[in-house]
Amino acid sequence: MKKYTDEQLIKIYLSTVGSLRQRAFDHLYERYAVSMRQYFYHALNRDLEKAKDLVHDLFLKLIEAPRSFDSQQHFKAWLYSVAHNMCKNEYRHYEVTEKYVEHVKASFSEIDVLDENDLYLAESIKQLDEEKRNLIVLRYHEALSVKEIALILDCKEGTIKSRLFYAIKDLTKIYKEILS
Amino acid sequence: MKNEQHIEKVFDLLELYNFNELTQADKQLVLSVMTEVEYQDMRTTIGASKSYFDKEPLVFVEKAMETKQFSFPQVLKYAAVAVILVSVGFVGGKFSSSLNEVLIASNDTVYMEKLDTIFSVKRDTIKTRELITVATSSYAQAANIANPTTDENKPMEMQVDCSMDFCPNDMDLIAQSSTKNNMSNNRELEEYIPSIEQ
Repeated sequence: MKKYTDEQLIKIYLSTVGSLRQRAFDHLYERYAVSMRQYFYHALNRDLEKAKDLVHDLFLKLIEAPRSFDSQQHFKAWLYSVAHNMCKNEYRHYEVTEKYVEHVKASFSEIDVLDENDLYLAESIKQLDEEKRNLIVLRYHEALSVKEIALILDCKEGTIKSRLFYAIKDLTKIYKEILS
Repeated sequence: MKNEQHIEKVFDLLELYNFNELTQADKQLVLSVMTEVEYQDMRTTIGASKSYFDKEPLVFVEKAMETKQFSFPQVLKYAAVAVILVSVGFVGGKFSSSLNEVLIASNDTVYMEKLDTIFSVKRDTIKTRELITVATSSYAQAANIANPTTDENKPMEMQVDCSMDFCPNDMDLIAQSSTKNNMSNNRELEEYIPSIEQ
């Protein structure tokens, strides 16, 4: 079943029952669970536990309300747009749970894997505002094209390019400050 | 609006080329938005971001390994708990058994375990061969015994003629001597039978 496209798999998932439906879902999960976890991880200030929870919730949405998937949209774009909205909801909670997040981050050591510059950059990304951070993650972590990001965020491609430009500009400014 | 269009174009260039790789027209376009240093710094940031995110799967792998490494002391911890539990159980068992001993002594009750010994005697199985002691009609004729009546209700009657060499009354004697299970009498019986046939 791996040769099927996302759209074919989602079609199978939506139109069948039983083991075939289950297999279609499993394949979609296998394809996207890790990348979605990484997306959440970066979008949510490197909170790995929260990222795992949100991946779970994201796929649960597909199980509980499969019709919420817009068949006119690419599955990947739909998945990221739902994930993006989930992140936005989380940002609201973050104001309240900042202490918890700090605690989680403190318990997670990346120092052995990342060099000093990486850590500075990670810190710089963290200091970006949510929207810009999200754009950076989608573009340079998820390696999505500008067109795909435009689909996800429901914007024009030009707008995304412009936003990305300013996101990089701000990131560069913060990164230079931290480095100095 | 024009500036925004320039920015979109600069973004495309920024992702693909270093400043010195740009055409003269593109350089002019870039310089209308930012300085050369800013352009190069932003390129550096993009490169650093890609590099950082490329290492990220390693972070997850590293975390998984970290979990495995931590699982070893966890196992030791569980083993230690298991040893303690077994020890406590053993000591507790000892204690409770010694307590029982005290109680037995105080009650003057002695429990004894008695083993019965069972002797088994093996005996030979003796096969029995039942000898026919009922005279057949031919024997009866030979012994001058009248055929028994076929009437089942009447008891069998025999007319005995003891003037012959062999008296049919001796059949009782034969029967006694050739009792059941006494195979040693076969020969004796065989000696009689020819004399009957004669």
